[in-house]
Amino acid sequence: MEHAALELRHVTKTFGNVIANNNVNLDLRRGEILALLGENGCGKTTLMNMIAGIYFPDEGEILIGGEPVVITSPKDAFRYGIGMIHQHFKLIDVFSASENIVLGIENGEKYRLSAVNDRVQEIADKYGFHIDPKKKIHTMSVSEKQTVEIVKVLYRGADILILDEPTAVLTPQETEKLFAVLRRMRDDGKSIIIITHKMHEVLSISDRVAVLRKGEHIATVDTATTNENELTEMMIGKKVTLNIDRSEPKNPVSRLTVNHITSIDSDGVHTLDDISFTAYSGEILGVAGIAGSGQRELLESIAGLHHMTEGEILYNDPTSGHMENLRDKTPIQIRELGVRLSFVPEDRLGMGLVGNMDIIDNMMLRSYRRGKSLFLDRKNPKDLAISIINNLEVVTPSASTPVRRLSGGNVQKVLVGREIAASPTVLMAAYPVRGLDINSSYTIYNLLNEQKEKGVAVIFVGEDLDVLLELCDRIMVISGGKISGIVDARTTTKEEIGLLMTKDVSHTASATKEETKR
Amino acid sequence: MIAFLVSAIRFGMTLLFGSTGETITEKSGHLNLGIPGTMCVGAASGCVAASLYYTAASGNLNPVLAVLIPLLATFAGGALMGLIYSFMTVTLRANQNVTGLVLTTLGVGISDYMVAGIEPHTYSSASIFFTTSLPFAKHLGWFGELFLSYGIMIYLAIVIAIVSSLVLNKTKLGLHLRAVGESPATADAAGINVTAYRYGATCIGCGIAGLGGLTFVMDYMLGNWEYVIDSIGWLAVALVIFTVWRPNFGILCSIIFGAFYVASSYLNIDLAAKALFKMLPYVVTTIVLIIISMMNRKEDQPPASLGLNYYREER
Repeated sequence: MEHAALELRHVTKTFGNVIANNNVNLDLRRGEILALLGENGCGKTTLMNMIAGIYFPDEGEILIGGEPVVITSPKDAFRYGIGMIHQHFKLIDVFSASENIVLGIENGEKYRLSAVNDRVQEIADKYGFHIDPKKKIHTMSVSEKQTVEIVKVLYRGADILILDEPTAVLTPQETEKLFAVLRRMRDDGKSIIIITHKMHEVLSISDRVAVLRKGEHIATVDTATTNENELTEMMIGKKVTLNIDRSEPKNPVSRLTVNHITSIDSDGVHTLDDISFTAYSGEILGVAGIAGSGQRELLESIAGLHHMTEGEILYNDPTSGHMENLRDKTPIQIRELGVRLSFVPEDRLGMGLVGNMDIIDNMMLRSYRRGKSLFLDRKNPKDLAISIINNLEVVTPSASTPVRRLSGGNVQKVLVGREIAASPTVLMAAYPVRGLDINSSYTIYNLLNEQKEKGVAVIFVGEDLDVLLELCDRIMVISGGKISGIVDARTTTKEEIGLLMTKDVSHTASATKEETKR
Repeated sequence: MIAFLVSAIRFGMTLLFGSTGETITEKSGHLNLGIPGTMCVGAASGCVAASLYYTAASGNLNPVLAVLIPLLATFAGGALMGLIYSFMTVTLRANQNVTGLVLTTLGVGISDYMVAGIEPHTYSSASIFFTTSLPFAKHLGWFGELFLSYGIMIYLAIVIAIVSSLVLNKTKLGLHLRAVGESPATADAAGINVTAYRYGATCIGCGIAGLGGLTFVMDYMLGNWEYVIDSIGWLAVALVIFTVWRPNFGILCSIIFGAFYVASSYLNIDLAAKALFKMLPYVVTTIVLIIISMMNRKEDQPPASLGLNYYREER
């Protein structure tokens, strides 16, 4: 029997206490397209990075053509004919396509750019790419840049290509073109692994599908004999009961009404596409979706940190009863209007807290404007810092320890504690339990529940579906910047959410109608 | 007029060494503000070496050795400053701006000390060999005076600038170096040794910059040590911006800078107006920076990672 092009045997990789990949077995045949499917954080990219020489496995072995190999650097990977196209392109803006392609190749040949241009054109013609070798990267579209990345690995003679979510940045038409090229490469004998979340793409491009869940390999199945439901079930697994308390919302009033907001980024991609929903007081609205589906842009738009192209955000002021439009207001204007939004950004230390400042100073970031005298008032922030440390059981030597020296969970508690202390009417939290241990996670869940009972409209962006199902009252699912459904968390199933997360809503008519259950 | 141009070129080429060296360094992503100190140390190393050779040869100087020994010592002195800079920023991950400024103050201090300890005539006697021009230059009228009347360092500056430009733009070495300065993470992923390129470019660049200091003392000042080398270093740093990071373009730019600088001596004007002329290089540098920032052409921008240290863990 012919050896597999690539084989992984019992591969395990851990980062600290986190097991990214546990005893994974995988094989890739010659001339096939294998789709690698799994939720966020299930270890797909880590696994592929080990093949590409970016990480080194703790245990297990990698075989190329039946021979065990040791891959310690991207250079090694190239030597074995493996090329990876990363999600974030590794290209130099001011260089031309050819200069980027030839970068780092030491084959002893004389460096002549015109010869490189010719070879690039030759490869492009063979597989049907459209590429201008002399064009500078900074003048290219996203899809052209991706083409350069693919030609780069082919130029190095790769037989095994790994593409990490290549369609995430492409339009449907560009995706079709890419798939046509991939099929031609497969027919030419290349082996291709494609990481994707989009179920219809898995079914349309792949020969086989390998499913990972929580770092473990669940199964590899023939695409022809499987279907969407079966794959979704393998991907998300059975429901786990967590026993998070959940009360019924009391006197819900619409607090925040988002109408048709759309946002287009600098590459022309719709990061938010006609999003409409209402958040009610006294409820937790969950937001589910594959990472990068527009969660961050949505929260930042509401907080006044992100520019929307279209749409409006209406805020029902509980003190005056007026409706205020938050669109195009700065975060400070939003505060001055009496609109209180507390925002826990995804990147804790990047946007939420200043790492080199201590807990007290970080408290002051939200309060220093209130000061009347020339000197800062440190007393109140200090009291607040101490009460957060005591109430949330923050493990820290003192209130004057720089927050960067605290562990992730404690940093998160400080951040959430500060936001809650501003007694918000709308509390938005993005991935507040990411990287936290079980106990810290429950502390955060309880905090959110407390806020809900106080009548705060809580918007919770989460990644663990089990948590979303037990903590939230309603769950809004977004996919590719659009709402693919808003469901009742008490009656929905994990499978339903899983299907909505991977649903392609780019062609369907507006599925963003807010459901009218109240 | 000819005398003015000759003087402008002589001074300009002093600057060209500094700016070519700094450009090579900056292309690797290192914003080295230690160039003024490096030029001081380079000049002082050359003077000390010249002095040692003078003593060893008991005053009977061989023309070739009298030039070559200080030249190599200067390059080594400058490269040593580059090595310290690279060690601080690459290996110890110190802030580039702080490191550069520290090296400038250190360099000024060290060079003053080095030169203070030697007899001026022991190194200034080598100056004559640095300023020797082709023997037939004076028979060729204005052409000879304008193009052939210079000492070896002036031509060396031009050769180094042209070679640097070719290496940067036409070779794989240059491609890799530019990649390191633009995006070290990309270069690293492509298998380029970022650390080696940053060390190498910085040491070579500093070595070249050091030659500027030597040229100033031995050629422009005719062998007299003058405590203004650091201010010439700042002029060279400004020149890098004026040349929009192109050593070949720098040949012309440095002559313009040189013309501004020496113009005051050739014009019959009062002191205040002279100071105005000396200010001009800094003014035009600011204007150039404003223009390239407004035009925002990607090709005219400084290397994208200039001033940023690179650690592989931060993927």
